[in-house]
Amino acid sequence: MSAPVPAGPVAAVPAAGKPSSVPAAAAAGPVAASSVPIDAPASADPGVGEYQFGFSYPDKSVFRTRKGLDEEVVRAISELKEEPDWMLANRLRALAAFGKKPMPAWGADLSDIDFDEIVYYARPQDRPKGSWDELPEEIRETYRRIGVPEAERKFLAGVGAQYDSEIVYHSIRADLEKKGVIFCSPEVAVKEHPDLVRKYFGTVIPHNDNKFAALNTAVWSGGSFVYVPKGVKVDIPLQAYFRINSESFGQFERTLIIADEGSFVHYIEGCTAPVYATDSLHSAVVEIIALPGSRVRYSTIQNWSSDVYNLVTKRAVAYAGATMEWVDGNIGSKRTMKYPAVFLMGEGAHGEVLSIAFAGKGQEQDTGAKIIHAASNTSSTVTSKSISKDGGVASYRGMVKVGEGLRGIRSRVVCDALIVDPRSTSNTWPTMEVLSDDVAMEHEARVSKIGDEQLFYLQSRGLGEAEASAMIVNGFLDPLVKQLPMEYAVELNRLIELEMEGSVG
Amino acid sequence: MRDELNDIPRGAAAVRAAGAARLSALAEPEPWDEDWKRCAFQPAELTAFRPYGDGVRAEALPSSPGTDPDPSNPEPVASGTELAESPALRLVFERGRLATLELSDAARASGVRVEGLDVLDAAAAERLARFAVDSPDRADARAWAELSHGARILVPAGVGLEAPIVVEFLEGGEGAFAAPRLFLELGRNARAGLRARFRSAGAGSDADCAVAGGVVAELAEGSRLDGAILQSFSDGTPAYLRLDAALGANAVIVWREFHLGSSRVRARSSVRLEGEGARADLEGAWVLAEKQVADLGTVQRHLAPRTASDALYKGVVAPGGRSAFRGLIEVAKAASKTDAYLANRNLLLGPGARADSLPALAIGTNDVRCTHGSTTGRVDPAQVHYLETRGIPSAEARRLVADGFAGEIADRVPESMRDLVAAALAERMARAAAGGVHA
Amino acid sequence: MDLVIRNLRASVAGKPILRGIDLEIRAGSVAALMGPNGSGKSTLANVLMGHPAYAVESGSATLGGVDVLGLPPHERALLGLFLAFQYPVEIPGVTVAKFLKRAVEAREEASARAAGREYGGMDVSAYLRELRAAMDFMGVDRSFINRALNEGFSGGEKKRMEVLQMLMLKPRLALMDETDSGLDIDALKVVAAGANRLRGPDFGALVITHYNRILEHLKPDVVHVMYKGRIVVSGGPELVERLEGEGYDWVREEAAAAPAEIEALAAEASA
Repeated sequence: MSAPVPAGPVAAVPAAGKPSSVPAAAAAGPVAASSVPIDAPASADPGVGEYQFGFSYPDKSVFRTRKGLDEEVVRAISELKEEPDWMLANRLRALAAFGKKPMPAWGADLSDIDFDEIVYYARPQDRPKGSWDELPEEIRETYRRIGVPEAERKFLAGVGAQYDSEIVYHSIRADLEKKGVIFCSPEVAVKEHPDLVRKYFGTVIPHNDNKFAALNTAVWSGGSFVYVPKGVKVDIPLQAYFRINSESFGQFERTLIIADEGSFVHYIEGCTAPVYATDSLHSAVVEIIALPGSRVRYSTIQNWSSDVYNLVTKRAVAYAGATMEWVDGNIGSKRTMKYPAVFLMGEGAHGEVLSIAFAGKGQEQDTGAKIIHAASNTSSTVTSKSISKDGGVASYRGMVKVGEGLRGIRSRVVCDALIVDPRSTSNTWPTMEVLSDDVAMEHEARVSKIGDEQLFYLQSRGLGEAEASAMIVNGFLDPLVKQLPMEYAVELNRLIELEMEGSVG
Repeated sequence: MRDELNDIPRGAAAVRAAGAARLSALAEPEPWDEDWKRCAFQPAELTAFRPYGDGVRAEALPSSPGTDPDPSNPEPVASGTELAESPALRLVFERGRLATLELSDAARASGVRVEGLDVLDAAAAERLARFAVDSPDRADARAWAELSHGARILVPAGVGLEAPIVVEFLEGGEGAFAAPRLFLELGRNARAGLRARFRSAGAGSDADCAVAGGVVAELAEGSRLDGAILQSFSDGTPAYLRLDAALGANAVIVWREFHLGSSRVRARSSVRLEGEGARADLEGAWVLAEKQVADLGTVQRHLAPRTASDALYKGVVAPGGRSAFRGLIEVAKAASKTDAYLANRNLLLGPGARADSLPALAIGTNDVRCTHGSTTGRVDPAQVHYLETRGIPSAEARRLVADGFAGEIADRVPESMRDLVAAALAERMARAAAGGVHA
Repeated sequence: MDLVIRNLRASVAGKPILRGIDLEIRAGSVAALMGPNGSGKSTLANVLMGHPAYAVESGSATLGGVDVLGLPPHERALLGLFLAFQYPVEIPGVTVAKFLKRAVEAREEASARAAGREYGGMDVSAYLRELRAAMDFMGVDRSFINRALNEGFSGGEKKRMEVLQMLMLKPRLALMDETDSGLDIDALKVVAAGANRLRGPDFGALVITHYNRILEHLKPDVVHVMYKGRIVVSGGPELVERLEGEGYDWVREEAAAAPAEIEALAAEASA
């Protein structure tokens, strides 16, 4: 097992970088350098069917804050990032809101989270690199094992890679950069595109929206900033990879995507982490502004290890004629609470959420969608498919709201849940609030098991029960999986097959 | 007598004590409480209403069947005859007092019993108190704590009543709090029909009281209850009506509820399918005119294998009206082979109408078939168009479609009660659709 | 491979359906199984394939000497048993190509294992060639390769798909459960041609049907008539004509006139 992280303030011995950015009071202050490396955890060799990305490397972060959160820690993060005052003020305002906001009284069980035991900031290296070769060996190897450089070569327009708190690698195709597409870390954006950031940051998700959004706003680090100029269509996806390496760590990346009028962009995020004995927290905030006529697709495959609390706030505003699509796959984590939202602000706007959840042993996936129709002639569809297995709990929680005095609203929500064994649970908690009469609002939900007749049919063609079950489960997910980028679709199918192997008999 | 000496509450006193204990254990809902935030009144508001008072409690109900009501009571205004011509049992309460009690010879001969709640034997009181102990919210708990009147009706095992049981509750008196409760027990393989009506006594502000109560039904193995209730309180009467039913193996309940009165309604129908093979069919309809608010809900709780339930709740909302429907299908680990369905359909008549829908599933095992559906919208233009092509003017066609929407459930009410429901529905629809129906 | 059924009794939900079936289908032969509705024909097919809803009470069924009744359904399939379903189930999201590739692969692997050979893996391009050819032969549009199995297929398309799978999996013994029902004459010819294409010394079939039509194309070697869970009459193709002409009344009479022993057995089974 890993050595414990030194508790409390530890004398700062900056391993590299800019000592000047460490507060003078470091010895008693919140920043500690990880002079004590952390051993690789026991689970570095996952068995078949177990979490594939459970490996880790020694923690070699150059700076990390001590455990726990207070104003000093927030100021230290801001200072390390050399932020302007307005961002620090924003952080402190959010910290106060975080202290006041209650924990959600609904959803997944979060009672195990100990905010005092979490490290809120760990910087793995000094500066983001533009080439994989410049990265420290362990970090490079991590991303190689996840398959990032290969994917970048094959089918991505840009890549961001975050390791613990900081973006360690960033690239964007030169032709896109020439057209004015911006794809960088939010820290870089604060420095280089302050007007855009100030105009939009925190406008979709206010600093006090909910406890975890407030937490993120106070301690955010890393993430992505994307701006696509008017009329520019980014034909292949931009992708960010988020990786937690440290134990008992909180990753709080912040993503802001602005799609200017008539533009298109597809952004993909993937998440993995090592398996530790203690829990980590991932609490991101994603804000998307889809300006008139634009289209944004945001795809997530969340495959955190089984000790990560994944409590994420994702929200988009779609103006007239804009389309926002969330493709949200939740496979990993211990508990997830995430309800991607679309606020339809202008006529002709369309919102779509495709949600896939897989709740296995010890997992609680509390996911769903939120659609607010705030303009006439707007439409939305939500499609949710969930699988519960080995005692896992999958819950769909959704809200569709139609404001007052609107015309021509259409919304359709379909939730399909498959419960694989008698020990597992599926919940569906939808809310529809309809304040206008010129609407066509539909919601339906089904819960079932793997069909006996389907199973028998496939068995009668020579497939064993486990394989037949896996095939049916993959078929069940297929309409949504098709919406994923190919390599994720393949990965997901493979994962389900592995998961199903042990479940039958 | 011995009980009194030992200071052990008996009859309704035990039930009230259980309700009071529950009341003190429950907190007032916060403003954001999901279960209350869509209701037009809060539990605390009911405390402004005073109980009917000691003298008119259920002890007035004679314990032996067939006994005439207290002669000191005034002449009843309601006879319940609109609900059925010659029922097995006719029971009318007016402002908490028993007004009519008639038990047919056939029913008496088969052993049907009617008892006042204050003379319940200890075992029956304990069974009823269990419902008070499980009361889900403060408004209902208060109704248990201040249980004002009602009766226990027992249909013995093996008895199949041809004629229905008819019960009328007329409540009224400015500032009064009425807490009526009917406790219906069906023995093994018993069969009975219940037609109940909840409405206002008196007129004007005298009719306006607050009501919280309803029906508790315990259905033993193989029994069947066909129930229908019509609620048509005055606009000024906040009303909270519940059905709490517990079903043994292979028992069946068919329940149809119509909320066609009161501007502030809350209703919950909760069915526990405790025995293997039990089945519940629930249906409800409501029509809301301007400034009327209804908060309705169902719970289909499957606790045993091979249980089935099917719920269909339809609401019509006029501009300025607001409805919320909340449904839950809950399947326990033990309840494999559950087959459950829930549908909520809301029809909005024009701009400014609001309907919320919260159909939920909580499924704890896999060998089940559980489905729900919810739709909200205007009248179907295709249906309107069809009628127009047959020569019916547009406004009339829209109204016809709207009438048909709510009428679907009314059509399934037993014949002798159907006219009453249809008339109440027509009256309320006329009010709701006064401004026309939009398509 | 011979299919040999001895005194097979089976029930569904406690209700006896098969009341002592004795039947042999020799390798290379095609047998027709006829009988009025409810006589247990489909039950026999499902019991042989191992449908979980049916309980075998007693008796045996061997394919090439192996008792299949104790095997899970997929192992029966890998032995060479095939059921063309009367009502093929829809499986959303599972494409024909994906499903059939795995089924063929599993069959090839099992055959190799049975022959003591090392399975070198599938020749995918050969498989696709064969699949396309079989689709063309069966009159199934090639676009069906990427459609979800049976989902949204018409009745006729489902039946063609069943026979297409049969062609690809090359069973030793096929149970065809009313594969002709609901087909127009062209589809019927194609389905029959599919079965005839497999005919040979290594292929046997039990063809369950109500109609003469398909048998005119399939030319069964032997015809069995089932009634109330038993085979009551067996004979040559001439039986088909008699049933076509006279219906089942004479079968009922013959069954009624059957030795008291049969009735006693039936009564015992239903008790």
